[in-house]
Amino acid sequence: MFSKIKLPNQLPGEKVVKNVRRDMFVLFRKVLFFLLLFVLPAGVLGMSFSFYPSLKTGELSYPLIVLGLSAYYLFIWLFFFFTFIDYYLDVWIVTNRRIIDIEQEGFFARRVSEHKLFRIQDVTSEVQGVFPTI
Amino acid sequence: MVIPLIIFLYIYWGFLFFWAIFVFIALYHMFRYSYKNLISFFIILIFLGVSGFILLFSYNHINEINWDKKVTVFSEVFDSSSPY
Repeated sequence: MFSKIKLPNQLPGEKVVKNVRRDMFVLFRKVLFFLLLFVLPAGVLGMSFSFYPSLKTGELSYPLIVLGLSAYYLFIWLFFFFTFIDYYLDVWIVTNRRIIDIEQEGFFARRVSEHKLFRIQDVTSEVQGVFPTI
Repeated sequence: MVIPLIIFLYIYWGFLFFWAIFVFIALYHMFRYSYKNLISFFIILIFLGVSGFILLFSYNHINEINWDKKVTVFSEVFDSSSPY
């Protein structure tokens, strides 16, 4: 149950050298965005209640607010979970024989690519932008 | 126009149904493709815990509402006495 790495189509004698994910900062930016979405209704409802206090007790408005908020938070939480899955399941596995790129693409797509190490000839590394440079 | 309030609850249940399908897909991805380690286990546990909390919190508030009521909406639009 606690196997470290699941290697697709493992070759004989193949060993995992490195297991790489995107930087945590990529996930951190998304967490900030979802935190904003989490507090957004509090601000919007706070302002609405201060202008229209009857919304809190309205026979139609109160049920709609309860159902709307519930649906909103359930979906935000679910999409946050999917964002995490997208980050967590995207992984590059470097072995002593090949490099494997696993990409989770949205809800219903997943792509696994691999390349033999002896076929690699030129490698370019490029960093662009303020945050990637930091 | 007078409509029963429970219609909104039915719409919410419909939404919950779709939400549950997507939760199933998300958990399927985690069980099928993620590493079987403690991190994955705790992530799934936190997700289910917070989801359960939101559902329980919603259930408590939804229970306080009388869904048998009928409400009048668009009263001005459907008011026949109005010249507009």
